[in-house]
This record gives sequence, structure tokens and C-alpha cells, in this order.
Amino acid sequence: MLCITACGRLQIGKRVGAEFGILSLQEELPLNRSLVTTNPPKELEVLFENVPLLGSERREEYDAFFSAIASAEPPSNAVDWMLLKDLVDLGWEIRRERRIKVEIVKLNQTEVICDLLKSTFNKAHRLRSDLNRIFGARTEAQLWASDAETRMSIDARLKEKGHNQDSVLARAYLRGAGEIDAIDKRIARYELRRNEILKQIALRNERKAQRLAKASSDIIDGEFTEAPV
Amino acid sequence: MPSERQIAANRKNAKKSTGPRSKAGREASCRNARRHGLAIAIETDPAFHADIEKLAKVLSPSDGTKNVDERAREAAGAELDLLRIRKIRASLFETLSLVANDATSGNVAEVNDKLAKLERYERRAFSRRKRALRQM
Repeated sequence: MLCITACGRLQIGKRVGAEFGILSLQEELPLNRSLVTTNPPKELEVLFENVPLLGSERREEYDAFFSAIASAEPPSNAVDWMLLKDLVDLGWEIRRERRIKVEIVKLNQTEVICDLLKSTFNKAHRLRSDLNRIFGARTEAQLWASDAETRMSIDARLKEKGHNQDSVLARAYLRGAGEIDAIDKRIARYELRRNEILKQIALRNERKAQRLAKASSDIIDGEFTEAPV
Repeated sequence: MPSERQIAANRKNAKKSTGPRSKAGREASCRNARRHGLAIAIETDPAFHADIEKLAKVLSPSDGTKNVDERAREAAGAELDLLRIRKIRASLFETLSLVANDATSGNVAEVNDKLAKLERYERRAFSRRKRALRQM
């Protein structure tokens, strides 16, 4: 289906892509090529010409995301297009915030590992200076984050000292609690607003709102499904 | 308590400094208090006039006339306000990613604080659009 890989790339299964009339992003695409097959009317281009994306986000991904939701219930008039755009933008922002949250936890995990490596430094290597110990721990922590083999060996070492993966994760959450809380609050507000838009759509057309609610939830929540490598 | 002599000297000195005198200087200083421009109605910003009218025309219920519905204009203004807020939010995230390597908890807290402040304007624009659409 639709999912984000570990590196944050959007992938759409070929079957679903074909169903929605969307190309799979795994295929090679020239930059700036629009994937929206459910094209908005030309008169509404003011809403679609400048999508608020970050430097790391691609327009193609946004368009694919838009098409996937729009295909569930294509808009029939200008107000519907406007509400749909809002629904999609909020879904996009929810996804962005979740991605940032994951990155914050990862960063804090690395910091926790670094601290633990410093504190559980093997006393047998007393010949090393304190400076070496600090920089060595930093390098090892970075390797822990990027290399699976090093990660396993460091995990084993830390386990001997009584620190398992769960306790590392708990410490990472504690360390980033403030930021994580702020992100959770923002996500909650986007969700509230998203529900409010669905209510507005339901006032205009009940069935349309139900289909859009299902499509957008499936797509937003689908992001954390690991893509098959 | 300043003496009479000090007061007179202060007044004399104050006359020497009356702010910018050139047209460009005055234009720049009149925007000193402006931070993001969200506190003023988008309709009063000439940069958005054309877009509001264009969108309002599309949103207006067709009644056979070419008149733009006032409620449609209100909804269009609120919608463009929402887009403007989202752009500002994205740019705030960008500033954070630019300092990512040296990001301190202070940087992150500052951005979080700004993002929370944006919420007020977003909620207002959202309610304004909802009200306008309901009346249409």
C-alpha cells in the first residue's frame, strides 16, 4: 500500500498506484513532474501553486499524497476542492510531525548511548586519556546509529552493564520529553481540525465525508509500515 | 528627579533625533513593529487583493450575475490566510533544520513557542472560513 520507508521516502504499491492512477515513486521521475491525475480546476491554481513544503519534501510526493486521498472521492465543486486541499495539507503536516518525532527519538537515543558509553568505559583501558574516552564514545555512538553490526556489539556491551534497549529508549524519551510533548500537542490540534473539516464535508455530503475520512486515515497511518526492501 | 537644566537639555537633544527622514527610511521604520503580518486582516494587504478576488469569484454561488458574493470573499480571505500560516510554519521548520547541526534545546524551544503562537491565527482563520461557508 502506501508507506514511508525508513529514510522517509513515500512509496506507493504498484497495484494501488494503478488503481488511483498514480505512478509509483519507486519509478524514476523527472523533477517537478506532477503526479496529480485528479487535476484541480485552473481557476483554483492560487491554492495549489505554492504548496508549503520543506526543503527535504518533494512536490511529487505531495501530489501523490493528494491524489491518493482525492481519488477516494473526487471533488465536484470549488468549495469541495478547497476543503479537500485543507484535509490533505493537515494530513501532510501530521505525517511531517510524526517523522520529526521519530528523528528526535533517534537523536536522543544516540545521545543516551554516548553518555552510557562514557560512563561504562572499560577501566582496563586506563592508558587512554579522558579526551580519547569522550571522543571515542561519540564515534561509537554514531556508529551505533548507522551500522547494524556495531550496534549489536555495543548493545551487548551495554547489556552486560545492565542497560537494555528498552531502558535506552525510555531515557531517550525522557531526554526529549519537552519536544515530543510539543509535537504531540500539535498533532492533536491538526487531528481536531481534520475532524472539523470532515464534519463540514459531511454537512454537504455524508457519504463523501466517510470515504475521505477512511482514505486519509489509511494513508496517514500507513506511513509507519516498513516498506519491503 | 531631573533638574530644569537637564530637562531643557533633553528636549534640545530630542529635537536632533526625529527618526528616519528619507522616504525609504520612513517606509522601513513604519514596519518596525511588524513580525509576521498575521495580526492584520489579509484583506488589507494589497499583495493578496488579486488572489482573494480570483478565489472569491470561483467560490461565489452562480446566480447569473458577475457579482462576487461577500461571504465568498470572506471565505477566500480566510483560506489564503490559512495557506499563509502554513507557509510560515514550514519556514519555521526550515530555520530549525538550517541550524540542525548546532541545534540546542533553546533553538527548539523557541521554534516550538513560535509554532504555538501561530496556532491562534490559524484557529481564527479556520473559524472565519467555516462561518463564511456555512452562510453561503
